[in-house]
This record gives sequence, structure tokens and C-alpha cells, in this order.
Amino acid sequence: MAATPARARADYDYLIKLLLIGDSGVGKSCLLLRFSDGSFTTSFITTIGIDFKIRTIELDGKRIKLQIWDTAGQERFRTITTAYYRGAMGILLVYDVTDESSFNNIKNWIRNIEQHASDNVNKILVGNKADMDESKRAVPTSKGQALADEYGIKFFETSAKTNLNVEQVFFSIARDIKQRLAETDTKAEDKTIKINKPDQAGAEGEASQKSACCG
Amino acid sequence: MKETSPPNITMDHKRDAYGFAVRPQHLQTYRKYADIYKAMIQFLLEEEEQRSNRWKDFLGRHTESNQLPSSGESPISSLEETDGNHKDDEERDSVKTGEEKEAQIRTSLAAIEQMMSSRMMKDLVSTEEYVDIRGGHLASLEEAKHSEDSDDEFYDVEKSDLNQEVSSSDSNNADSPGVHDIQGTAAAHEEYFPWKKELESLVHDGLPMALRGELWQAFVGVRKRRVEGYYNNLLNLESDDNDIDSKVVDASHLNKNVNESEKRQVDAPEKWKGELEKDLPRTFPGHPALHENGRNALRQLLTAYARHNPSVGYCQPMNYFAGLLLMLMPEENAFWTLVGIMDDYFDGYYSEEMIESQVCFSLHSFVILLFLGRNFSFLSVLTIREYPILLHISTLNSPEVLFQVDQLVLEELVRERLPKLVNHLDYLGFQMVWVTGPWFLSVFLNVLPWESVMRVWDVLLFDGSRAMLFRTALALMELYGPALVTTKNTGNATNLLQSLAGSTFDSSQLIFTACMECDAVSEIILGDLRKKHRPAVLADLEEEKSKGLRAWRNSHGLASKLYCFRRGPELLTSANSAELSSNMHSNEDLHSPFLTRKILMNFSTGCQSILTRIL
Repeated sequence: MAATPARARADYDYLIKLLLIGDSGVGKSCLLLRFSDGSFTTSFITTIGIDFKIRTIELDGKRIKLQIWDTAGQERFRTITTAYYRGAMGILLVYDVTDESSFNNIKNWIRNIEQHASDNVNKILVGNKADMDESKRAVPTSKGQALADEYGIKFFETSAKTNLNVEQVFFSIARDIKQRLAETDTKAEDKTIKINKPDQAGAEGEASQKSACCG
Repeated sequence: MKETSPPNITMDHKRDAYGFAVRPQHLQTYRKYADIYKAMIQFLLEEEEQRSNRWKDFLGRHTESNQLPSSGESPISSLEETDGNHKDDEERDSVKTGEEKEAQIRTSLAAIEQMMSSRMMKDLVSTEEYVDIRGGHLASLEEAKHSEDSDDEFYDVEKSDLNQEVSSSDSNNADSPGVHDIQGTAAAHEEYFPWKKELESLVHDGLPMALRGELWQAFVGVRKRRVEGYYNNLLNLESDDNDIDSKVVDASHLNKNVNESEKRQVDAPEKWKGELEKDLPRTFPGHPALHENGRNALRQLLTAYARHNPSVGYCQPMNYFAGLLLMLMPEENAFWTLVGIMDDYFDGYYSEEMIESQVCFSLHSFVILLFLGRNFSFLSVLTIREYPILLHISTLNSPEVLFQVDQLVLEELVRERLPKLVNHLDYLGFQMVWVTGPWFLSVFLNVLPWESVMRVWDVLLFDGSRAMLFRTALALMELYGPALVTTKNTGNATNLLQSLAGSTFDSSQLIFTACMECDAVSEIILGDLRKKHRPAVLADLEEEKSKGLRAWRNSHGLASKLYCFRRGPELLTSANSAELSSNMHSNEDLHSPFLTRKILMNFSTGCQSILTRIL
């Protein structure tokens, strides 16, 4: 435990928490797996409760650690999953372009966000399974775009299967959040700790750690 | 389901030794441990053989000592079907006396089931009610049941006494009216089943694969529950396609008259169908036992359950439970086992006070409560009593209360036993519920390797209480605590714990560690701990509820403040508000959804007040 605590603390400049929400079966877990592990599988299993993955990305020379929470889509898990909304800095609203009801439900998911998440949480709309044959498509791109415009949020159509736009979605929302955080940072100039002094934070963390469990 | 077989040795990296797909997220871990596992397989096979022999010996002995009739009539009517799965096993042991042995085993199983069913909450009487209630639809049931009864008489051990709840480890009994009676009965129970201890120790050592399905049925009391024709009748019920508001359907549980509810069930649209269909291919995908026919069996089983209990319908962990059961037993038996698991311990769920108390709340939320309540505590007897109290305070928060209370109890248990670990996790800001929540929800399915999952279920079903969930969680924490203490942040801790849990291939070690806690984590102690934690949670709720929306807004605002900061340590140093710092840990991960109980309760109460208004 004594080994390089400061460095461990310094392995990122920003920690961003993201949340994936949307109806059951729209491909939230697949999107996350594609983004975090670069793989895809058709034999996926249902997410019970909540799961999460981490990936560190680099944006404008900053290391951004993304902690991405994957939630169960089924309605009756909602009382558990909504508890996670509040910690999220960004929320990916996912629907399935071949499933109209999952698209119609986005409105309910938005309402959930309004009720449970921070006011300034960043949102992004994601229409997944865009690789599917046009004949199976139930939600035209224009409709998705229109809904995103209505809410004033960004919109992407993705495919976890073909890796279409997956990186873009996560990078896009991460960039927006980083931007927001940077603005907050500039506004709050009286803040005593600067972001590029992680060592200080680490040292302090280590001190409290010692008193907490090594004493 | 004939494909089910004891662990085969072929290994590929997509499927484990039981034929289950390795969860893609865990693939890497699995590869890492596959070699170890391969090396263990010989050992596991030997262990399995010893286990089989011990069980055969036990079952053989008790057939004789109990002088049970080795009747040709199978107590579990489709037992032979199941046995077919394991023909190879039997042949290996003794081809000649195979059939004899099967008959012996069957009668021993009946004795075990007799013992287990004595603690069933829904005893024969209520099963008969079943028959009466459903009689309109299932006219021949009563007869069927009666013939079963007569079958019972052969090895009936003063059932009238034993039909009471006798499990002494059951804290629910502690405050129930006839404590003395029950203690007396428990003693009698011991007397009638002197081999219970031996059986328990055998269960802790694991059930042999070849007998697991049957023993599980015996533990759950399938034979007693089974009503001939009921399952098929459920499947034959045609549902109306009219798209009536689903709330009306879901409200059926509010009606005490089950005839009424059944009528609705038939008339009403089955909203869960879509969800069920979505989950079919996602339940143990590609498992040989769940190919086409298997999928269909899974569909039928879940459909039947949803119709059997429309107030629950279909909800997610059930697909795994059902899938698992289907791998171990014929479809209809799997149905009754599922019914046993889901329903038994929730007798009294539809009691008057519960119905009255929900009046001021929306039906919809009440239904969510029931769904969740069942998921969280489907094996708990204790919670039945808690419900009315909870409901009076806040129906809406109850699922969270139950879940919260359980998680708090677990946390306290871990804190008590592993203070260093908990201190470290506190320091990191690691919330145990992130990992242990899904453990409890899914009863370790998809969390542990299969051998270990089944060993946990063996004990869980035998015990008939949730205690094994706690014990297993504690065992995992104990086993992996030393590794967790080296982690530097919450992400690492979560990933490490998840992957280590997924690598718990030494099921014997796990169960052994878990069962070391047996006395320390009894249902009585859990009950006490729940009682201890509940008032605080409820008081918080009540207090916050009275504040309502405004309180939520405040806490919500507070939360946004917290989450605006990019990193924990900075937050600590930059936070001016004493109010803030009193509520937080000194760590990286202040963005935790379970930041503090207080805030959560604040928050959820607030949210739900809004929900109530909207609805």
C-alpha cells in the first residue's frame, strides 16, 4: 500500500462518470463492451442491477478516466438504477433503431433524468443497432435527430456490432463534460487545489489512509 | 434437457465446463483461470465421485432405517425422465442393481422432502385452497390431489404437527404467536429426522450433479406443491390481446379474491410478454440445454409462472432461475420449484392491512414494490412481517428499504469481521453495494463460476433462508479481502472484486468458508441486525417524507454541487461547507450514488414524492 500512492492518484486528470440508460435489450451492455474492450458478441446476457467498466482516454492532452455504469433496462429495476443517476456527469440515452417503443420511451427516460439526475448533467441520444437492414429499421434517423434537437442534445446512430460511431459517442460526451468541468473550474477561482497538482491530493489521501487502516 | 450432464472436460474459452457461455466481460479472467481450472478438473471429478458415493450411501441407509415403501410409484412423477439424464453415471456404478437403487433413492428423497416440506409455509391446506380456487378451471385437480394425499400417508410423520413452521433457524418464528409450540415441534422435528444433521453436512459438501435436480425439488417441496394439470392449464390460458392499461392487470393482486384475479389474468393483456421474449435468447445464450426446445421450455415455464402469479408477472432474474432449473429437471418440475422459490415465503403478502395501507399510493408503485420485494427477498420469511409496517410509512420506498437494510446488514457483518478491509474500502469511497447488490439480486448467477453457484444454491435451498447470501458474500470478502486492500481506487477495487469472484473455482473452499459463518450468520442474527438498521432507515424516510419535494430539491442541489467537482480530494479541500464535509468520505470517489445513506434517502424520498404527484 505504501508503494507509489501519489502516482496511482495521478493516473488521470479528470474522472468522469457516465451512465447508460434505455429500454431492456437496446444494446447498452454491448455498446459498453465495444467501447471498453473493443469486442462484440451476439450472445449477450441480461444485466441484473448494475455493472460498470472503466476506460481511460486522452482528450486534448488530458487523461480522462471514464467510469461507465451500465444499468438494467427493465422497468422494475428502476428504483435501484435511478439511485445511480445522481452521481452521473453524463448520461447516454440509448434506444434501438429497430424497436420503436424503445424510441418512444426515451421521453420517459428523460423524465427520469429530470427527476433523479443533477440539473447540469450532460445528455446524449444514441440510436443503436444502426447496422441492421433498412427493412428492419423502425425509427428513421431524422426522427432521432428531431428528438435530440427538441431536447437540445447531441445525437448519434451507432452500431456496437460494426463499431459505428461508438468511440465518437463516448468521446463526444466526454469532451462536453470536460468542457463544462473546466468552465466550472475557471469560475471557481478561489478553489485552493489546482487540477494539475494531483500529487498533493495523493499525499493527503495517503495520510488519511494511514490513519484509517494502517494505524 | 437430456443434454444435461456432469461437468465435461472439454474447455474452450467461450464456454465453461458446464456449457455456460463465459460472460464476455469476464473472458479475460476466465482465460487466466482456465488453466488452473483444467488442472483442477481431475480433482473435481474425484470429488464428485466421492460425493456421489456418500450420497448414495446416505440415501440407501435411510431408505432402510425409515422403512419407507419402495413403491414403484414415483413421488416426483417424472423422476425417471430426470434419471435418464444420468444413466451413464448409474451404469458406471452398478448396472445390475441400478433400478433397485433408483427406487431406494426415490424413497429416501421422499423422506427428505417430507422433512423439508414440514417447514413450508404453504402446506397442504393451502395447496388444497389452490385446488378450490382454481377448481373452476381445473375440475379434476381435487381428485388428483387426493390421490397424492393417500400416497403421503405411507410415510406421513404426524404431519399435523410438522406442518407448522419448524425451522428453528427461522427468526420469523421468534415473534410469532406459538413460540413454545414451535420449539416443541422443532424438537419433535429433530426426533423424527435424526439424520438432519448428517444431511446438512452432506449438503454443505455439495450435491452430486446426478441428484442435484431431484434434491432441489425435495428441498423446495415440489411433490407437495404439485397439482396435476395446473401447469398445462396455465399454458393453455389464452390471453386477450386488447391493450388495456397494464396497471389494471397488475392491480389484480390487490384483490383478495383470486378467482377475480384469475379472471383478470385471463382477460388482461400480458405486458410482460415482450420483456420475456427479449430475454429468452439472453438467458445462458447458446447453452446446449437451451437450444430450440429448451428455449421453448424456458418460454413456457416463465409464461406459466407469470400467469400463475400475475402480480409478479415476469421479471428479470427469473429467467436465470428458470434456465438453471430447466438444466436440472423436467419442465413441469422446474415450474413447481420456481413457484416454491418465488411464492412460498411470501404467504401473507396479500393480507388485509397491506391492501388498506396502499390506498393512498399509486397502484403502479405498489406493483413495483411487490416486484422488487420479491426479487430482493424471495427467500425471506422475515420480510413478510415487515411489509405492513413499511407500507404504513412509505410504500414507495419499501423496495429500497429492504434492499438498503440488507446491504447495511451485510456491511455491518463485513465491518465486524474484516475491519481493516472496510477501513480501506471506506477510504477509497468504495461502496460495497455496487458489487454486492448484483450478487444478492442474481443470487450469484453470472457472478461465480457454475460449480460454485450451484453449491451456493444447494445450501440456500436446503436452508430455506437468505442467510446463505450473506454467508457467501462474507466468504468472498474474506477470501479476497487481502487482495482488495492493495487497490488504489474504487475502479480497481470493483474490477478486482468482480473478477476474483468470477474466478472462485474452488467451490469447496468457498462453501467451507461460508459455512464457517453458519452460526454467526443465522437467520436470527440477521433478523436482529435488520431490526437494528431498519428504524434508522425508516426514520430517515419518515422525516424526509414530511419534508417532501423541498427536501429533495435541497439535497438535489447539494448533490449537484458535489458532482460538479472533478475529483474527490479536491472536493474535500475545496468544500467550505461543514454540512457537506460531514456527509462525506475522504476519497476519490465522492460521486457515489450511495454517497451517504442520508442523502440517498433524502433523495429517493423526494423523487418519489414527485412520482406520487405525477401518478
